[in-house]
Amino acid sequence: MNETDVFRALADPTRRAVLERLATGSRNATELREGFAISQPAMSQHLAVLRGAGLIKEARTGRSINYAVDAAGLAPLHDWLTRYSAFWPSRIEKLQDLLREMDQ
Amino acid sequence: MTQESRSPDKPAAGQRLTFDYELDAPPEKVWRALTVPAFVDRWLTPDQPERDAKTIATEVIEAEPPHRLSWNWREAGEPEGVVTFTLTPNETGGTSLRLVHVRRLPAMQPAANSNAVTMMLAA
Repeated sequence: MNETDVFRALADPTRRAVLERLATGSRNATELREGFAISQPAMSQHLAVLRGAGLIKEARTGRSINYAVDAAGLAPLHDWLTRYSAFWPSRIEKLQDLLREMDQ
Repeated sequence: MTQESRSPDKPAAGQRLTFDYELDAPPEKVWRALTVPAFVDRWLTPDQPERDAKTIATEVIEAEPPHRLSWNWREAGEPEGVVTFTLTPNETGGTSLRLVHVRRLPAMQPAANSNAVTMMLAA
């Protein structure tokens, strides 16, 4: 999935809020709109952007569509956090070693 | 330089990692370790003895000795970012070091703020 699409999708506060709501469990479009002061077409558009970025997936059950987070779409964000969450502590450990070896 | 970009708590946009450390050495000494290239090589890229072979490239974009240092961060295969070190003297003669690494976002409006995303991912 295109990383730029992911960031574009997440640049919008409403879409971030939608994604956070879905992170707590799947919802249909009506449930998703609760608490948001936006029209149904506007919500549909946000959902389309999120889906286009690979951040959510939809599943049709009977006549309603359920939306859920697509964990794979968040992988580019996780990769960065995972890498540098491990990288910096190991480097700061080496910095501390160096400080002990340096002259005042 | 705007107020917003100076504050470690308010990056203009992007994913952000913050680390806090207490170091035994005073800020002036830590500053040397962060700014003298021969020292930086020893802790930042110890496994890359050949300068040409470096996959990490840093460029100083702000330096306020011995308090604040910002690097443009480039690493092969990784998104670009900005790494900022803030040094504060602590009560025991050492240094409180805060390291903030902000991932630079590709072509995005500066008003965007993805703190919520970081929080969600951490949950």
